[in-house]
Amino acid sequence: MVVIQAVLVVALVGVLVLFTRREHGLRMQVGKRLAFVAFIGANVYGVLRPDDLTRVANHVGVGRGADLLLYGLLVSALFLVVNTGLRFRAVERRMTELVRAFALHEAELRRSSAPPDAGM
Amino acid sequence: MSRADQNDDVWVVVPVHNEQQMIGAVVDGLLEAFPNVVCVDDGSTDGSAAAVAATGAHLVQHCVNLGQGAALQTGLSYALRQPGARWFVTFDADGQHRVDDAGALVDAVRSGRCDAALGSRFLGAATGMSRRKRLALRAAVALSPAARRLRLTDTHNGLRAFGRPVAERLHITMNRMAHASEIVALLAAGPWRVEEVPVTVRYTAYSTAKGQSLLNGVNILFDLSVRHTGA
Repeated sequence: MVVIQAVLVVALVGVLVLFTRREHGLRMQVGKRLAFVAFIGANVYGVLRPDDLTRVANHVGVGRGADLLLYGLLVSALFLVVNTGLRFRAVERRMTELVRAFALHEAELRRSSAPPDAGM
Repeated sequence: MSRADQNDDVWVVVPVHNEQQMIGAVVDGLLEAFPNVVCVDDGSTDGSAAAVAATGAHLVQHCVNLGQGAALQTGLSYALRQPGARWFVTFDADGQHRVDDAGALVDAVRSGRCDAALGSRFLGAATGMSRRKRLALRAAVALSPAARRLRLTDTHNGLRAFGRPVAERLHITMNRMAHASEIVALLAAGPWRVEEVPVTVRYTAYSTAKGQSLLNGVNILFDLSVRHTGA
Protein backbone atom coordinates (compact mmCIF):
# COMPACT_ATOMS: atom_id res chain seq x y z
CA MET A 1 0.00 0.00 0.00
CA VAL A 2 1.23 3.48 -0.79
CA VAL A 3 2.03 5.60 2.25
CA ILE A 4 -0.61 8.21 1.45
CA GLN A 5 -3.35 5.58 1.39
CA ALA A 6 -2.44 4.43 4.88
CA VAL A 7 -2.28 8.02 6.13
CA LEU A 8 -5.66 8.92 4.63
CA VAL A 9 -7.39 5.80 5.92
CA VAL A 10 -6.03 6.42 9.42
CA ALA A 11 -7.13 10.07 9.28
CA LEU A 12 -10.66 9.20 8.14
CA VAL A 13 -11.01 6.49 10.78
CA GLY A 14 -9.82 9.10 13.28
CA VAL A 15 -12.69 11.39 12.24
CA LEU A 16 -15.12 8.51 12.72
CA VAL A 17 -13.75 7.78 16.19
CA LEU A 18 -14.09 11.44 17.13
CA PHE A 19 -17.67 11.32 15.90
CA THR A 20 -18.70 8.40 18.10
CA ARG A 21 -16.50 8.96 21.13
CA ARG A 22 -18.28 9.32 24.43
CA GLU A 23 -15.93 11.70 26.17
CA HIS A 24 -14.26 14.78 24.90
CA GLY A 25 -11.85 15.66 27.64
CA LEU A 26 -8.99 18.08 28.00
CA ARG A 27 -6.58 15.74 26.20
CA MET A 28 -8.84 15.68 23.16
CA GLN A 29 -9.21 19.46 23.13
CA VAL A 30 -5.47 20.04 23.39
CA GLY A 31 -4.89 17.44 20.66
CA LYS A 32 -7.32 19.23 18.36
CA ARG A 33 -5.65 22.57 18.92
CA LEU A 34 -2.14 21.25 18.41
CA ALA A 35 -3.26 19.52 15.22
CA PHE A 36 -4.74 22.82 14.04
CA VAL A 37 -1.51 24.71 14.69
CA ALA A 38 0.49 22.00 12.93
CA PHE A 39 -1.86 22.16 9.96
CA ILE A 40 -1.44 25.95 9.70
CA GLY A 41 2.33 25.57 9.96
CA ALA A 42 2.40 22.95 7.22
CA ASN A 43 0.31 25.22 5.02
CA VAL A 44 2.63 28.18 5.49
CA TYR A 45 5.58 25.97 4.66
CA GLY A 46 3.81 24.62 1.57
CA VAL A 47 3.08 28.14 0.34
CA LEU A 48 6.66 29.28 0.84
CA ARG A 49 8.29 26.20 -0.65
CA PRO A 50 5.91 24.54 -3.12
CA ASP A 51 8.68 22.38 -4.53
CA ASP A 52 9.18 20.74 -1.17
CA LEU A 53 5.47 19.95 -1.11
CA THR A 54 5.81 18.14 -4.43
CA ARG A 55 8.83 16.28 -3.11
CA VAL A 56 6.93 15.16 -0.02
CA ALA A 57 4.00 14.21 -2.26
CA ASN A 58 6.19 12.05 -4.47
CA HIS A 59 7.69 10.51 -1.39
CA VAL A 60 4.34 9.30 -0.02
CA GLY A 61 3.05 8.17 -3.41
CA VAL A 62 1.10 11.18 -4.68
CA GLY A 63 1.89 12.69 -8.07
CA ARG A 64 1.71 16.40 -7.42
CA GLY A 65 1.97 18.65 -4.37
CA ALA A 66 -1.44 20.08 -5.29
CA ASP A 67 -2.99 16.63 -4.94
CA LEU A 68 -1.48 16.18 -1.51
CA LEU A 69 -2.91 19.56 -0.56
CA LEU A 70 -6.32 18.45 -1.81
CA TYR A 71 -6.22 15.29 0.33
CA GLY A 72 -5.21 17.30 3.36
CA LEU A 73 -8.07 19.70 2.75
CA LEU A 74 -10.52 16.83 2.43
CA VAL A 75 -9.58 15.40 5.80
CA SER A 76 -9.63 18.80 7.51
CA ALA A 77 -13.01 19.66 6.00
CA LEU A 78 -14.48 16.40 7.33
CA PHE A 79 -12.94 17.06 10.70
CA LEU A 80 -14.45 20.54 10.72
CA VAL A 81 -17.91 19.23 9.86
CA VAL A 82 -17.83 16.61 12.61
CA ASN A 83 -16.40 18.93 15.22
CA THR A 84 -18.94 21.65 14.46
CA GLY A 85 -21.75 19.10 14.57
CA LEU A 86 -20.64 17.93 18.02
CA ARG A 87 -20.40 21.49 19.22
CA PHE A 88 -23.93 22.20 18.02
CA ARG A 89 -25.23 19.17 19.88
CA ALA A 90 -23.63 20.36 23.09
CA VAL A 91 -25.16 23.81 22.66
CA GLU A 92 -28.54 22.28 21.89
CA ARG A 93 -28.37 20.18 25.04
CA ARG A 94 -27.69 23.24 27.16
CA MET A 95 -30.49 25.15 25.47
CA THR A 96 -32.85 22.27 26.21
CA GLU A 97 -31.96 22.41 29.91
CA LEU A 98 -32.46 26.15 29.93
CA VAL A 99 -35.83 26.08 28.17
CA ARG A 100 -36.98 23.22 30.40
CA ALA A 101 -35.98 24.96 33.61
CA PHE A 102 -37.74 28.12 32.47
CA ALA A 103 -40.88 26.23 31.41
CA LEU A 104 -41.13 24.36 34.73
CA HIS A 105 -40.53 27.51 36.73
CA GLU A 106 -43.15 29.44 34.78
CA ALA A 107 -45.70 26.62 35.08
CA GLU A 108 -45.24 26.46 38.84
CA LEU A 109 -45.57 30.21 39.20
CA ARG A 110 -48.76 30.16 37.15
CA ARG A 111 -50.18 27.36 39.29
CA SER A 112 -49.37 29.01 42.58
CA SER A 113 -50.72 32.43 41.55
CA ALA A 114 -53.97 31.08 40.06
CA PRO A 115 -56.89 30.41 42.39
CA PRO A 116 -57.24 26.65 42.99
CA ASP A 117 -60.43 26.18 41.00
CA ALA A 118 -59.73 28.58 38.17
CA GLY A 119 -59.42 25.65 35.81
CA MET A 120 -56.19 26.97 34.33
CA MET B 1 -65.47 6.15 43.93
CA SER B 2 -65.26 7.32 40.33
CA ARG B 3 -62.68 6.22 37.83
CA ALA B 4 -60.94 9.57 38.07
CA ASP B 5 -60.58 9.32 41.87
CA GLN B 6 -58.89 5.94 41.61
CA ASN B 7 -56.31 7.45 39.30
CA ASP B 8 -55.32 10.47 41.36
CA ASP B 9 -51.81 9.06 41.77
CA VAL B 10 -51.41 8.87 37.97
CA TRP B 11 -49.94 11.67 35.83
CA VAL B 12 -50.51 11.69 32.10
CA VAL B 13 -47.89 13.52 30.03
CA VAL B 14 -49.02 14.79 26.63
CA PRO B 15 -46.44 16.44 24.37
CA VAL B 16 -48.21 19.00 22.19
CA HIS B 17 -46.95 20.63 19.04
CA ASN B 18 -49.43 22.49 16.83
CA GLU B 19 -52.42 20.34 17.79
CA GLN B 20 -54.96 23.14 18.19
CA GLN B 21 -57.64 21.17 16.37
CA MET B 22 -57.53 17.98 18.45
CA ILE B 23 -55.91 18.74 21.77
CA GLY B 24 -59.00 20.03 23.57
CA ALA B 25 -60.99 16.88 22.86
CA VAL B 26 -58.04 14.60 23.64
CA VAL B 27 -57.45 16.26 27.02
CA ASP B 28 -61.14 16.28 27.94
CA GLY B 29 -61.27 12.55 27.14
CA LEU B 30 -58.24 11.91 29.34
CA LEU B 31 -59.55 14.01 32.24
CA GLU B 32 -62.62 11.79 32.50
CA ALA B 33 -60.39 8.93 33.63
CA PHE B 34 -57.24 10.69 34.83
CA PRO B 35 -57.52 13.83 36.96
CA ASN B 36 -53.86 14.77 36.49
CA VAL B 37 -52.88 15.65 32.94
CA VAL B 38 -49.89 17.80 32.02
CA CYS B 39 -49.63 19.11 28.46
CA VAL B 40 -46.23 20.31 27.34
CA ASP B 41 -46.70 22.83 24.58
CA ASP B 42 -43.51 22.52 22.56
CA GLY B 43 -43.34 26.00 21.08
CA SER B 44 -46.54 25.67 19.08
CA THR B 45 -47.26 28.45 16.62
CA ASP B 46 -51.02 27.87 16.58
CA GLY B 47 -53.58 28.17 19.38
CA SER B 48 -52.55 24.93 21.11
CA ALA B 49 -51.58 26.61 24.37
CA ALA B 50 -54.90 28.46 24.60
CA ALA B 51 -56.74 25.24 23.79
CA VAL B 52 -54.95 23.48 26.65
CA ALA B 53 -55.54 26.40 29.01
CA ALA B 54 -59.28 26.09 28.35
CA THR B 55 -59.20 22.54 29.77
CA GLY B 56 -58.42 21.40 33.29
CA ALA B 57 -54.96 20.16 32.33
CA HIS B 58 -51.70 21.58 33.61
CA LEU B 59 -49.84 23.56 30.97
CA VAL B 60 -46.06 23.75 30.65
CA GLN B 61 -44.73 25.77 27.75
CA HIS B 62 -41.43 25.52 25.91
CA CYS B 63 -40.79 29.01 24.59
CA VAL B 64 -39.04 27.53 21.55
CA ASN B 65 -39.67 24.27 19.74
CA LEU B 66 -37.30 21.55 20.97
CA GLY B 67 -38.92 18.34 19.76
CA GLN B 68 -41.16 15.62 21.12
CA GLY B 69 -38.45 13.89 23.16
CA ALA B 70 -37.65 17.11 24.98
CA ALA B 71 -41.34 17.78 25.59
CA LEU B 72 -41.81 14.31 27.09
CA GLN B 73 -38.87 14.80 29.43
CA THR B 74 -40.15 18.21 30.54
CA GLY B 75 -43.59 16.72 31.23
CA LEU B 76 -42.07 13.87 33.22
CA SER B 77 -39.91 16.28 35.21
CA TYR B 78 -43.00 18.36 36.00
CA ALA B 79 -45.07 15.32 36.97
CA LEU B 80 -42.30 13.92 39.17
CA ARG B 81 -42.40 17.11 41.24
CA GLN B 82 -46.10 16.79 41.98
CA PRO B 83 -47.01 15.42 45.40
CA GLY B 84 -48.59 11.99 45.31
CA ALA B 85 -47.47 11.16 41.79
CA ARG B 86 -46.73 7.42 41.60
CA TRP B 87 -47.55 6.36 38.05
CA PHE B 88 -46.71 8.07 34.80
CA VAL B 89 -48.31 7.72 31.40
CA THR B 90 -47.20 9.15 28.06
CA PHE B 91 -49.96 9.83 25.58
CA ASP B 92 -49.94 11.34 22.09
CA ALA B 93 -51.82 14.56 21.44
CA ASP B 94 -53.21 13.75 18.02
CA GLY B 95 -56.03 11.51 19.20
CA GLN B 96 -54.59 8.23 17.94
CA HIS B 97 -54.61 6.59 21.38
CA ARG B 98 -57.62 5.41 23.38
CA VAL B 99 -58.01 6.45 27.01
CA ASP B 100 -59.13 2.90 27.90
CA ASP B 101 -55.82 1.57 26.64
CA ALA B 102 -53.98 4.02 28.90
CA GLY B 103 -56.01 2.58 31.79
CA ALA B 104 -54.96 -0.95 30.82
CA LEU B 105 -51.30 0.09 30.84
CA VAL B 106 -51.66 1.70 34.26
CA ASP B 107 -53.32 -1.49 35.56
CA ALA B 108 -50.37 -3.50 34.25
CA VAL B 109 -47.79 -1.46 36.18
CA ARG B 110 -50.00 -0.92 39.22
CA SER B 111 -50.59 -4.66 39.61
CA GLY B 112 -46.82 -5.12 39.95
CA ARG B 113 -46.63 -7.40 36.90
CA CYS B 114 -44.06 -5.09 35.33
CA ASP B 115 -42.10 -1.88 35.91
CA ALA B 116 -42.95 -0.42 32.53
CA ALA B 117 -45.82 -1.16 30.19
CA LEU B 118 -45.56 -0.25 26.53
CA GLY B 119 -48.45 -0.09 24.12
CA SER B 120 -48.18 -2.23 21.02
CA ARG B 121 -50.36 -1.76 17.98
CA PHE B 122 -49.11 -5.07 16.59
CA LEU B 123 -50.40 -7.07 19.55
CA GLY B 124 -53.56 -5.01 19.39
CA ALA B 125 -55.08 -3.33 16.42
CA ALA B 126 -54.06 -0.51 14.18
CA THR B 127 -56.84 0.85 12.10
CA GLY B 128 -56.10 2.58 8.84
CA MET B 129 -52.32 2.05 8.90
CA SER B 130 -50.64 2.11 5.53
CA ARG B 131 -48.54 -0.85 4.44
CA ARG B 132 -45.44 1.34 4.16
CA LYS B 133 -45.88 2.54 7.73
CA ARG B 134 -46.31 -1.04 8.95
CA LEU B 135 -43.12 -2.09 7.17
CA ALA B 136 -41.16 0.85 8.57
CA LEU B 137 -42.30 0.13 12.13
CA ARG B 138 -41.44 -3.56 11.74
CA ALA B 139 -38.02 -2.61 10.46
CA ALA B 140 -37.49 -0.27 13.43
CA VAL B 141 -38.12 -3.22 15.78
CA ALA B 142 -35.95 -5.62 13.79
CA LEU B 143 -33.04 -3.16 13.76
CA SER B 144 -33.08 -2.50 17.51
CA PRO B 145 -31.01 -4.84 19.69
CA ALA B 146 -32.76 -3.47 22.78
CA ALA B 147 -36.19 -4.25 21.31
CA ARG B 148 -35.10 -7.79 20.50
CA ARG B 149 -33.79 -8.26 24.03
CA LEU B 150 -37.09 -7.12 25.50
CA ARG B 151 -39.02 -9.08 22.84
CA LEU B 152 -40.95 -6.02 21.77
CA THR B 153 -43.20 -5.85 18.74
CA ASP B 154 -43.61 -2.07 18.59
CA THR B 155 -40.88 0.36 19.61
CA HIS B 156 -42.47 3.56 18.34
CA ASN B 157 -45.72 3.66 20.23
CA GLY B 158 -46.37 6.87 22.15
CA LEU B 159 -48.51 5.14 24.78
CA ARG B 160 -46.46 4.00 27.78
CA ALA B 161 -46.87 3.68 31.54
CA PHE B 162 -44.30 3.28 34.29
CA GLY B 163 -43.79 3.78 37.98
CA ARG B 164 -41.69 6.35 39.78
CA PRO B 165 -38.38 4.41 39.79
CA VAL B 166 -38.40 4.15 36.00
CA ALA B 167 -39.57 7.75 35.53
CA GLU B 168 -36.76 9.01 37.74
CA ARG B 169 -34.17 7.11 35.76
CA LEU B 170 -35.38 8.15 32.33
CA HIS B 171 -33.31 11.06 31.13
CA ILE B 172 -34.39 11.56 27.57
CA THR B 173 -31.62 13.37 25.75
CA MET B 174 -32.88 12.77 22.23
CA ASN B 175 -34.85 15.93 21.66
CA ARG B 176 -36.46 14.89 18.43
CA MET B 177 -38.04 11.64 17.35
CA ALA B 178 -35.18 9.30 18.27
CA HIS B 179 -36.44 9.39 21.88
CA ALA B 180 -38.66 6.34 21.26
CA SER B 181 -35.62 4.18 20.55
CA GLU B 182 -33.80 5.86 23.41
CA ILE B 183 -36.51 4.98 25.92
CA VAL B 184 -36.47 1.34 24.80
CA ALA B 185 -32.67 1.30 25.10
CA LEU B 186 -32.83 2.77 28.62
CA LEU B 187 -35.43 0.21 29.65
CA ALA B 188 -33.35 -2.63 28.22
CA ALA B 189 -30.23 -1.39 30.01
CA GLY B 190 -31.92 -1.20 33.42
CA PRO B 191 -33.17 -3.95 35.72
CA TRP B 192 -36.77 -3.35 34.62
CA ARG B 193 -39.47 -5.83 33.79
CA VAL B 194 -41.07 -4.55 30.62
CA GLU B 195 -44.37 -5.76 29.27
CA GLU B 196 -46.17 -4.96 26.06
CA VAL B 197 -49.89 -4.41 26.23
CA PRO B 198 -52.07 -4.56 23.13
CA VAL B 199 -53.50 -1.17 22.23
CA THR B 200 -55.49 0.22 19.37
CA VAL B 201 -54.01 3.00 17.32
CA ARG B 202 -56.45 4.90 15.18
CA TYR B 203 -54.98 6.35 12.04
CA THR B 204 -57.24 9.13 10.92
CA ALA B 205 -56.64 11.56 8.09
CA TYR B 206 -55.63 14.05 10.79
CA SER B 207 -53.10 11.89 12.61
CA THR B 208 -51.64 10.60 9.36
CA ALA B 209 -51.09 14.13 8.13
CA LYS B 210 -49.62 15.14 11.51
CA GLY B 211 -47.53 12.01 11.92
CA GLN B 212 -43.89 11.93 11.03
CA SER B 213 -42.74 11.15 7.56
CA LEU B 214 -41.07 7.78 7.09
CA LEU B 215 -38.05 9.69 5.81
CA ASN B 216 -37.53 10.64 9.43
CA GLY B 217 -36.18 7.13 9.97
CA VAL B 218 -32.91 8.33 8.46
CA ASN B 219 -32.84 11.28 10.86
CA ILE B 220 -33.49 8.97 13.78
CA LEU B 221 -30.63 6.64 12.89
CA PHE B 222 -28.34 9.64 12.54
CA ASP B 223 -29.37 11.10 15.91
CA LEU B 224 -28.92 7.77 17.66
CA SER B 225 -25.45 7.24 16.25
CA VAL B 226 -24.18 10.34 18.03
CA ARG B 227 -26.16 9.82 21.22
CA HIS B 228 -23.31 9.62 23.67
CA THR B 229 -21.00 12.23 22.28
CA GLY B 230 -20.81 15.42 24.23
CA ALA B 231 -18.30 17.81 22.70
